[in-house]
Amino acid sequence: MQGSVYQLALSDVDDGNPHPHVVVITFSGNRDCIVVPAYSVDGFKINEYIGLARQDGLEDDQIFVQLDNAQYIDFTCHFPAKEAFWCTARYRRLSQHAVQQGKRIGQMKPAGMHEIAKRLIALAETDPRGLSRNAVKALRNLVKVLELDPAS
Amino acid sequence: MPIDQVDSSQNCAAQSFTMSDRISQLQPFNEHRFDDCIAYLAAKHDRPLTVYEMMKLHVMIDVYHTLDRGTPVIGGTIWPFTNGPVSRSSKSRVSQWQKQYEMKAQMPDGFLVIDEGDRLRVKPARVPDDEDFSESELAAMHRAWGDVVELLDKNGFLASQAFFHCDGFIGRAWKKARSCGQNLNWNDIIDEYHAEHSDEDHSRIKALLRI
Repeated sequence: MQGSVYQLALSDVDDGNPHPHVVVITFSGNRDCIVVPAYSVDGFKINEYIGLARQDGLEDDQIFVQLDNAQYIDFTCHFPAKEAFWCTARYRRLSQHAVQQGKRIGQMKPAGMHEIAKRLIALAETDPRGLSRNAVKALRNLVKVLELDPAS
Repeated sequence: MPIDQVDSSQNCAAQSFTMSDRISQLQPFNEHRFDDCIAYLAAKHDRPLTVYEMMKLHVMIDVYHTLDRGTPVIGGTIWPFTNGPVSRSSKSRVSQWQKQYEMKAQMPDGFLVIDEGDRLRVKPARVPDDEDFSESELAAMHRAWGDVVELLDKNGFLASQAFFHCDGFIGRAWKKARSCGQNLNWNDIIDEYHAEHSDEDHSRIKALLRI
């Protein structure tokens, strides 16, 4: 499941329009996972949020990672591969069952997973209240594995 | 103390909202997180919890965490029931626990039921590691415990009902939702909290809710 990209409508914002979300880490004991959403780089609401986060002193690498989805995702269905902000500041912890209710649209390549995991760790270092210690440990392990074997 | 009567025919401010102004769900209900929070708090305070306490703890944990981080811990929608704001999802989960206990004497996974005759309480059979929670989640759980369990223990059920119907910011958000017959709106919850804590800036949290 890790690295899978799903189209998920998690909230009723935007009339419940779905966005791509990548599963970054899974927790087997709790049967849940952490997902990070993607937004078009020209989206109004994501840019409004980024502007406010910058005003609050957050650096861009604590807010998002910009990836060309065409290069970083192996799509398993027809999907418009755009340049996207993967908003690491908007991670959510969800049940794996809820994620699997969405449509799986592809698999994030290890290089993309590495970028997103590194940004989540950077966020946790500057804002240690946000992620649990076990989540940070899992992220560090993921980064280590991806650095030892970039093709994994 | 009577619960304020709400006239559903009265003008509803929320009806003038556009759909995008109403946010009733920030993420789907995460049943594993609900179980973890309830088990952790019951174990930490060595206090088996009633259904009422579990329902209100879910609401207030999510409210305080959303005010702090823009995201709930457990998730789901919150409905303005007669007894105050309650998540339909956790209500349904705990009703299932009650039904299985009453019909088959079956314990819910990870919990033990204590039958007090007139009501049931649950206590955890296993306790989650506190490193499974972030500092912000632990802080939200701590505040929720104060608003729900400590208030009940100290001032009783009527004081708790007043908090959830009129006295507290969550009570005012409940009242708005009740008058419209809709789920509680997260923008209302934040606005009502902000009215009591105007020195705090919630603009980034509100922007985060919109993505």
